Amino acid sequence: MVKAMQKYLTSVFILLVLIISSSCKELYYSDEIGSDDWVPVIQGTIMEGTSPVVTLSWASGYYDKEVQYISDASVTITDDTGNEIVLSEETKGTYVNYSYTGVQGATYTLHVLMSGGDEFTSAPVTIPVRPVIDSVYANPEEITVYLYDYSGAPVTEKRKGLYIMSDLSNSGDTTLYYRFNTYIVKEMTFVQNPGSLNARQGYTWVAYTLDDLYTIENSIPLAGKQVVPEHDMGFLEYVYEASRGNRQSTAPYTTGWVVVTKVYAIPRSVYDYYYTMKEQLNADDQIFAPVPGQIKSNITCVNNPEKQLAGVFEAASLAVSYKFFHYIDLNLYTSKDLPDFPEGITSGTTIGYPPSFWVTL
Amino acid sequence: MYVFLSKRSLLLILFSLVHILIWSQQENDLRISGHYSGISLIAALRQIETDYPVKFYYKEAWFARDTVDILFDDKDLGDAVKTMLNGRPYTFKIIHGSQVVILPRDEVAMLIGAMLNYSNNSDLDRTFIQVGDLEEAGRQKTVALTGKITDGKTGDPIIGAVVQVNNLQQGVVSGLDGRYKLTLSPGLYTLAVSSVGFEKNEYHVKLVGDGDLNLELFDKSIALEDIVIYGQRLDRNVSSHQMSLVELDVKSIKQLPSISGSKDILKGLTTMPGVKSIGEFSSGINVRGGGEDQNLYLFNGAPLFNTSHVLGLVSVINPDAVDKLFLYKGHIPAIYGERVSSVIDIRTNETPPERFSFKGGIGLYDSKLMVMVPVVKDKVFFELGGRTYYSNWILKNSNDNDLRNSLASFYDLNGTLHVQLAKSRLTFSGYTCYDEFRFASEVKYSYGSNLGSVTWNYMLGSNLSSTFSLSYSSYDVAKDDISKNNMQSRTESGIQHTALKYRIKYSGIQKHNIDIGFGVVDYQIDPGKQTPLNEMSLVTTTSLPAVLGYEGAVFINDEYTLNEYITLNAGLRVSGYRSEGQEDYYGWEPRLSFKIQLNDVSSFKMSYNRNIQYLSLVSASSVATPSDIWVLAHDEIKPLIANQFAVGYYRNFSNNSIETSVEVYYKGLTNIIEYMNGAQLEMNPDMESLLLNAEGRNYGIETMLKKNTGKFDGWITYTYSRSLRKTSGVLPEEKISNNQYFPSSYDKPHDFTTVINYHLNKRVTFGANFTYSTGRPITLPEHKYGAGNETAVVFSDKNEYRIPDYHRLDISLTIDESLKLTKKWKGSWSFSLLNVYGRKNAYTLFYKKEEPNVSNGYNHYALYKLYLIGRPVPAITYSFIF
Repeated sequence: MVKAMQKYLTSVFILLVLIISSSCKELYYSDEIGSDDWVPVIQGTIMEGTSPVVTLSWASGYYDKEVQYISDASVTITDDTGNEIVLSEETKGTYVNYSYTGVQGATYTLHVLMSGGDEFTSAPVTIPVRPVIDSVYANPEEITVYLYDYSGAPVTEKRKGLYIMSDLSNSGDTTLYYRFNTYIVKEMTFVQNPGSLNARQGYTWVAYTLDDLYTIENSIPLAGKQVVPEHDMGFLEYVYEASRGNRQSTAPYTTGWVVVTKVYAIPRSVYDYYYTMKEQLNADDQIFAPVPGQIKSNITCVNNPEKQLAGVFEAASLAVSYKFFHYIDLNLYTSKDLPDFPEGITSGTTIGYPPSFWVTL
Repeated sequence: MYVFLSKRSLLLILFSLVHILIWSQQENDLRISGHYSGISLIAALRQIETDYPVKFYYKEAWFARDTVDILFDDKDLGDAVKTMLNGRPYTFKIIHGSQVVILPRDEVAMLIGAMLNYSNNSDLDRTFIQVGDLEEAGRQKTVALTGKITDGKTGDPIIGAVVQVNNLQQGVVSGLDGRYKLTLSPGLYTLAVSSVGFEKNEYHVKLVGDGDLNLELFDKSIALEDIVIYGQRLDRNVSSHQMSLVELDVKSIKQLPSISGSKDILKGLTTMPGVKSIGEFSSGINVRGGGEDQNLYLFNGAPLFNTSHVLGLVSVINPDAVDKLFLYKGHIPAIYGERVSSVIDIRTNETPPERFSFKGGIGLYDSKLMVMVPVVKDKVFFELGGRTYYSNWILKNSNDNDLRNSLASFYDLNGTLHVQLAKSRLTFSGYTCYDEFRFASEVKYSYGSNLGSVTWNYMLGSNLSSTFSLSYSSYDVAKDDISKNNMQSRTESGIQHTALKYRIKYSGIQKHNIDIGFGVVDYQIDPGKQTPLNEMSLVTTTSLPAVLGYEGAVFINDEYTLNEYITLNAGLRVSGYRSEGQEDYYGWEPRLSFKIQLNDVSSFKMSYNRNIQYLSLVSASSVATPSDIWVLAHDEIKPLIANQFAVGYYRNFSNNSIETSVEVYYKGLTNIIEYMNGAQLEMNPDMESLLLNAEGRNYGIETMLKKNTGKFDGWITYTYSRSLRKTSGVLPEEKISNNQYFPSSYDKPHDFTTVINYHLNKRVTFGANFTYSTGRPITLPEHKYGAGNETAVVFSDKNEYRIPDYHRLDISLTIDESLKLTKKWKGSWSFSLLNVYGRKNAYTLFYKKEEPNVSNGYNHYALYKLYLIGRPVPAITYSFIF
């Protein structure tokens, strides 16, 4: 009887697993998708102390791979004092003016006149007060990650590491808006030709960003200030894979992470642009069939307000924090502030000597 | 001398006399004298024939036992015959002064037009039960037929039994003591008597005057049926004035496969023409292109604001609790208001159980149990039922990481208490349900409904009854955002609905059934309160103020049977709405329907309806979700108004065993809620500013072929329909598709459904149903562009594309263990296979950023199709009744 019941339950279980596993998603293709409309993409930036840059292109068809840039357009930026900043086409579709840099508190408006006659203008945007990064710090944690093995079966693993957080604060009564960009350089060392007379120290590093373009926050009032407390920047995962070691080289050992935190203070209209982008690209609640949303641009077509377009004219001020984190265990980690850190580091390896930017405690 | 009249000769004579209206008032010269004492009437007649030149025509059987004691002294022949027939149901005619034809009074009345034949046949030899005094035949224009309907087995009165007069749009329901009363013209009738749990019975009645007729019903021979049709005539689709009505035969739904193995009455409705759902397992139904919030679900009179468990997998209604279900999708009687698309009136059982009994089922995913307990025989009884769903252990063993970290569970409980008093009946009803659903480690929903109602039916007279009801309904949802450790929050919202309704029914005027009443509703909506979920959370507590509103309505409705061909149903509802600090609204809601009976098997119907809705649901997604927010009408959200016209032709074949119908409708809508691009509704105090008032037009043609009896039964439906919307905004953000008509999310032009059952025998039934429909409209990306490391897209106009067409085949096998009435425990096995050929029907399409991997082709961004059932899904359920 018991065996029969077990057999029955096992059958039931298998059926149920079949049912549940049948729910899924797959890539969708339809050759019906397409439009004859040409949608201009205008992406402009003016930052405090930085020259304005505007890129003009056409949005490509959904299944197309080629990007077409827009040349021969007239691109100007006016400020609230009546100055007109003319941008010239430096490379195809990219318009710059190196003789001007953005000023905090100044309000700018972008104007674009395309050769076809369409004229575009942005909402006026003001470069906000520069953000104040109070601190960038870490919380050690062990997290569970959900993975699939080679056969596609789900597996879970425990991972240790550091959650990186930051606190921001500014004086003021009104809500402030921020965009984050966190750049990581992960430093690892290994020994080449271990145990031999030719043994040499190796240095390897991986550069990556920790968040998305649309990682944004708005401030909340606290003790007379506008603050962003405990902004979650991401998880620095400590992985030591001994299996990667061999006769030629020991397995890489993580010595630490350089965390470059860039915080842009942006106007509300720019925040809305990134917010709607986040909504568009993160369909986490797809089980409810979310209504697709257009990204909200702060640019409109003057001679045809109905015309579809994409992009944003962003005014921003920037604050940057440089920090190095060293991790041994959940109870043994440390950090130190760095005065700066070079831009544009790409992943690489050196043998015998560390690269110039290498950080040690 | 007498003549025994054959039926044929009698009729010939009768027809020759049809033009004579008054039989007994005649002059002749023959005069009779004599003493006829202590002899039979027949002997007296023979004696008169012997003594005088006169002949009598009659049937001996009529007077076989009659004797006379009469003295005639030069009596006029007519007066003499009249004296002899005095007190007997016969009349006579003297032809040529010496031929006396004697006939039953009622048959004469019938032939001369005073008594009509409404029975199912014209066979005068059929045994009719005579009601009334034949002496009075032809003297009354209307007579009252009264009586009591009892259980033929126990003699107990049956409450709520339906007495339907065939071929007339007239019927009554038995009262608390089982009594009924019909007011009819004298005539021949066939009465169809039915009640839940009893075999339908027919009585052929010869109604000649006021009188009593007690009727009996007997138990059904097959006991293991979920629900039976309520008081439904075989030709009801033709004979009833009501059009666009679905009276769900849940017995048929029992044959349908379902994902959880148990039956689902709300999802079963989607096999009917004009009733669809937005997608596989989506919550609720869409009726004639209307939104889910445009349907009023009443459970014993209390409204349901959420109709689905597990995000649409299972309807919240326990089928074991349901006795009757009516879906009004076109002509909505004036007694109903509050919604514009449909009313789904669900009633629980009202028949007292004979003994303690229970029924239930055990399935792969859920189990249910219901007990029926008589407290005082035929006076007090209660029913208590519940279901639970146990899927968490299944999810934990899924091979999808998101599902492994998800949870889904629910329970629901329902109970009713019936108290039978002298002239009234009290019904207390309660319902509660609770759901928990968590998807991955991102969001968790907890939601539930609580319903309660008290209904007091009171018989004010044989033709007058009243119903007083008080109901309360609440729906609350909590949405936990658990994706970020330091920002975990709970957002709660809800709605409370308290209603008082009073209704009087009067059927004392011949050919009229009048309804009059009023109702008031008190709404309280809690649009949102956000609180930190734990001490570590940095979220601050925020509350949006509650919104209060009041809706009131008065109504009158008259069902008027003009003649045997034409029936008119006219109603008027006047509703109003008030919310503090907002504009007041009121409106007229005329409800008209009209039936022309073309012949016994076909009819033509038309209707016009105007409905006003002061409460709407706003949703940030294409389908209803548990956390959607109810909003009341105010300055910026105008009441939703619908005007619907419908015409239909109905034709039955093969003695009503095959029904066909065609209905065409057009529905104009104003003040439908649409949304500005990217509208953020949750915890938004300015939510109303993101909503748009749009207009809409829904139209379509619905066809149905249904076979009710035989080894094969089932139905086939085809519907062509459109559901379009249009904004009229001024600013760009107020325009959708440049203010041109665009398809709503419920626009599925072609819909074909077939449900077929094959009854191998009384115990074994095979079932199959196939559904095809056009894919629903959807908005898809048409362009893309790079922004930093991201690839953003530009979407098409709203609903410019469609998801792939939907089609699915399900099959089932039901085996009943035993049908013997003497066997107390009766079991039934149901095996079903859903999605037989494993089609991956799209639930939705969405554009999403993904971590690059093999499965998405290393595309960072992609357009995905989400499907819920991608392969054949078996299910098994064991049901029982004791």
